Parts: sequence; structure tokens; C-alpha cells
Amino acid sequence: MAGREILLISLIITMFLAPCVKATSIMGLLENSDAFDGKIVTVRGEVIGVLVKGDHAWVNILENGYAIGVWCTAEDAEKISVVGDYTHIGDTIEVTGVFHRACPDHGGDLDIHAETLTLISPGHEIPRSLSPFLTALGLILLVTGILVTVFVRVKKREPFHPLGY
Amino acid sequence: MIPKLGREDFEIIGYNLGKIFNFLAILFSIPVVVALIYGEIDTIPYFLITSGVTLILGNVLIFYTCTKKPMELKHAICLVALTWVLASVLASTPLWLANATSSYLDANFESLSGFTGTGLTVAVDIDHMAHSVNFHRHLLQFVGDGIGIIVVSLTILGRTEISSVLAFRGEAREEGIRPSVVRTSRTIFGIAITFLLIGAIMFAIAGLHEGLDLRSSIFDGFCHSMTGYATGGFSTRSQNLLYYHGLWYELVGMVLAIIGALNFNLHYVVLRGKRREILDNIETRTFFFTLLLASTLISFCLLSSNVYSSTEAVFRKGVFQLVSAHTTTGFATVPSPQLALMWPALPIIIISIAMLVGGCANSTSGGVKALRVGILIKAFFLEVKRALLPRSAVVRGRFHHVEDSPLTDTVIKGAAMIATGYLLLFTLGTLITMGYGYDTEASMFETSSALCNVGLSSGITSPSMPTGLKITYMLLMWMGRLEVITVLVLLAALALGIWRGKEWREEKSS
Repeated sequence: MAGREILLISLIITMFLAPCVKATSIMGLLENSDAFDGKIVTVRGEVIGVLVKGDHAWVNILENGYAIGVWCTAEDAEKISVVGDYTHIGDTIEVTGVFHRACPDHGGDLDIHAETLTLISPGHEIPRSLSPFLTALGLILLVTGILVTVFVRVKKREPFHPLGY
Repeated sequence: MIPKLGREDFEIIGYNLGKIFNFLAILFSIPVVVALIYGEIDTIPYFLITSGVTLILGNVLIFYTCTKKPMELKHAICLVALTWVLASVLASTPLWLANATSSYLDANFESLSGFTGTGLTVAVDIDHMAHSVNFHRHLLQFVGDGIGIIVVSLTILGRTEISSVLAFRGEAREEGIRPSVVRTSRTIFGIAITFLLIGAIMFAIAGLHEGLDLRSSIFDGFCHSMTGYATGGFSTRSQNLLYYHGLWYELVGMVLAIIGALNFNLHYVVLRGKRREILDNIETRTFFFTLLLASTLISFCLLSSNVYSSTEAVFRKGVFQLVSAHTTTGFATVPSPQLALMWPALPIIIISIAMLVGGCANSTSGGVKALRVGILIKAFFLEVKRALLPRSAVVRGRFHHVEDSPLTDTVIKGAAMIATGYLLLFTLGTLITMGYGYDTEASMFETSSALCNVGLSSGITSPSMPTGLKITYMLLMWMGRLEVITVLVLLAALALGIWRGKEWREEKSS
């Protein structure tokens, strides 16, 4: 009897949660956009862009090489402090919201309208340093190139031209 | 009899190639300025190495092949075909050193895609790419496809008139705007710079309107203007123009792509006050007619199949992708997996055909070109008319392209030859792609995109695609940019050279 009750409760819970799907990846959303259309999804990704438009904002998130736009309130977007670029890894956020394969409010864009936006981990700077070996090689090659240019012009008695003509 | 290439011929080719390398060395050093502006000091050595190597190679070639002999058509064709390959190999160095691609082959794919104005990308992490490296990618498209490397290096920087004429023909830009080719090239350069600046300002304003910060809107605007006018399609973002989620940004992209796809001759004539030329010209008529027809068909397909439910969505997704394909630009507002999996087969096929038709001749776009398609349609109707009239009736065709010209058999044969070349390569490319296990529509789409230098993708092009397919697409991009014939002449000359060399060795040994 207890087994049947548990089964019944599970069925009821499943029915209520039917439109709410946990997506594991942005790639999964892109490849199965019909299946996820209009459902509540949860995705995680690195912030690669924030475009504020009045009291709302577009937050573009990236995960495993695939990106998607999230439409959220400007207030939610303010939680983001680091946007990913060459010198930064952006904040990682988790978004729960309604997925649209062709959003009727945004000219058919594939997007998520966020209901909640949570900061999972803050972004950080990527240390970039000048390679002494590559710098030395670059300078040597450039100086050699210039010397060879001068040598060829003198040897072949070609008129000097700023661009080698 | 086909003339063979001897030592003197190689000297002429080598000497001019050396000159072009010297120009490229300067071009490859320009991103250093961007690196300094954005404080990306660590990327500077990549460009110094590339410039240095190119300068050394260029001058070594000049030293060993120095000649004052004039260039002939065979030299120009070989020079053009070789330049595109060698320039791409050299331009791939910064991409490879910056780890912008996952292999050296991918770096070559990316730079060839840049130089030919294709826009198919195998870059691994565009969103974290250095501004200087990203600028380098965009600059390749602007110079390679927007104005033409050889035309720039041989004419604007002062080479002889004859060599310029020949190189001009080799680069698939057969008509001159002005009596002198040097002047023509300078006019092309002037037009390109004007539209580049206007486009950059418009993109920057649109970027600010969409909520982008000032710094990013200026950089993105300048880069997108370079690739939009060049009908290249590279973007500073992995989502391409979808990143901006804005109608105005997309409109600027569309307008700039259409401007880039129009004949330089038309720009010049219209700028001189002959606005009626837009309506009278067979090429613009064909281009806008096919654009309108395909837009209507695609809109109908997407609405009736419920892919998009509003007119705005159909315009921003359907018509935008079509304009991008027809002008051979490659800007996208639909992610590749969605395009391949959500769109029905018919719009994909329509876009593939639009890519094959391409933009106008003597423009920055690829494909068979609207002028040739217009001539072939006219010739078709002329033949029908001939069949209906009595045998004694004289039927002569005419077409208007800047000036009235007779529709001769030579004109028709020329157009048919190029169109046949493209169709053969398209069939071959599609079959090869299908051989790797991809479905028919996606294979047709990706092959048209590579061959006609478009850049839209159905998801096949990626760093993980098979090596054989990468090489196939690289060959298609190269042959498509040079309109097939130039490459065939080079291959024939090389094959003939090898065959005659073998004959000579046999004679010597006997």
C-alpha cells in the first residue's frame, strides 16, 4: 500500500514539474530547441557580454564553445562584475528561466528569459606574460628582414621606396 | 600549344611574389598598434615574427629572381593563384602562435578563409581572443577580399601598368572603372575606405544603441565594417551578430553587405550622378530580382512551417540569413545547430542556391555572379525566341551593363564556362561532404558556403571536422575566390611542367 502511495505522489510531482526541464548544456538546448521550447530550463555558463537596455539587459553566456543570450532585469545583471575577454575569465552564473527557440518578444532570437540569476563563482584575471624567447625571435627576425631589404636594394641597385619598391 | 614555363617565367613570378611579400610584411605588422592600444603586449612578438619572416622571404625572392622583364598573362595567373596560398600560409603564423586554433592546419584554414573572404571559422575561443589577433583576422578579409591583395600591392603602391592589368584579371576583376588600371585600383581603394569608415560609425552607433560599452562598440564596429564591406563575415564574437540581439545592428550589417556585393563600376557611375544605372543595369536587376524572389520564398516557407510566427522574426532570421548568403557575406543571427536542425529543407536549399548565384561581378562577393546569371537567362530566352521565329530571321540580343553591349556567343560562352566550373565543384564538394556521413542539405549548404566564399555554416565546419574535409573546403575556398579558371591554369601549367621535365629527362638518359 505504501508503495502505491509513493508511486501516486511521484506521478503527481512529475505532472507538476513537466514544463520544468533541467538542461545540462547550452549545446543540448541548441540541438533540441523544439523539445525545450517554452519550458523552464536551468543553465550554467561564463558571462561573455552584458548589454544593458533600460531596466533590462542581455547577458550572453558561454559553455563548452556554445553561447546563448539571457534576457534578465538590469538589477540581476548588476550582480555580474567580470565579463570574459582576453584578459579575464568571466563570472560563472546559473540561470533558471523560460527557453524560447524563437522568442516572440525579441524578433525570433533563441534566448532564455531569466526568472532567477545566481552568481556561482566570480570571474578572475588571466595572467598573460610576454615570452622572452618569442620577443627575442621576433626582434631578430624583424631586424634581419630590414637588413636583408637594405642589402637587396643596394646590391640590385633598386631605388629605395618606403614599401620596398 | 600551351606555352611551357621556363626559368625566365619563374623569375618573373618570383620577383613579383617578392614584391607582394614586402607589402604583406607591412600588413602583418598593423595589429601591433591594436595590441599597444589594448595593452596586449604579449601578442606583439607573434606579429613581429610573421612580419620578419615575410620580409626576409620577400627580399630573398627578389634577390634571386630580380628581373626587369614584363609580366604576361600566364605569369599573372600563376602569381595570383600562388599568392593566395602563400599569403595564407604566412598569415596563419600569428593565429597559430596565439593558440587561436587547435592545430597548424586550422590556422591555415582560418587565414585562407580570411583572405578569400569566406568567413567559415575553426577558431577555438573567439570570445577570449586577443583584440590584436581578432583584428588580424578581420584585416585579412578587408585586404584580401575587400580590395584585393595583388591589386593593392601591384598598383596602389606603384607597379607597372601592364602587370597591374594582368593581375587585375587574375583576381577575377575583369572590368576597369577608369581608363587606367592604376586609377581604377585607387578608385576601388577610395570607395572601400569610404564605406569602411561610414560602416564603422554606423555599427558603433548601433552597438551603443544595443547597450554595448563605447570601447567595444568602436572595436566591434570597425571590425564588422571591414568584414561586412568585404562580404567576409568574420565576427569578433562566437555568436556572430546574434550577440547584439538588436535590429539596428543587423540592419547596418545587411546594408553594408549589399553595398559590398554591388559592382565597383556601379558605385563609381552612381557617385558620378548616373543614378538611373541601378535600374537599367542587367546585373543589379538580376541581383535584386533573385534577392526579392528568394526572400519571398523563404519568408513563405518559414511562416507556413511555423518555424517563426511573426513578420519581424521572419525578417530578422529568414531574410537576414538570405541577404547574408546572397551577398556572400556570412553574418549570422541563427546558431548553426539551430539552422541545421530547426529549419526545413526548402529554405536551406534556397539559401544554398542564393550562395551559388552570389553578388555582382567586380565586387567583393563570390559565387557565379549576378551578371553571368543575367546573361545566361537572357541567352536562354534568346534561344527560345530563335526557335520560334523563321530560320531566315536575324535575332540579336543586347544587354545593358554600364553601357549597351551585344550579347555575343563569346560573352555567353564565358559566362557558361564559369557557371559550369562552379556547378562541377559544387557537385564534387557536396559528394565528398556526404561521403563523410553528413546529410544532403547540410552538405549542399556547407559546400556552397565554402565554394562561394560565404561563411554561413550548417554546423559542419568546426575544429573537430575531419581533416580531409578541411582540406577539401580550403581548396574550394581558394578555387572559388579565383573563379576556378585561374586555378585550373596554374594546375595545368604545373602538370605540363612536370610532364615536360620527365620527357626531357628521358630524352637525356637515352
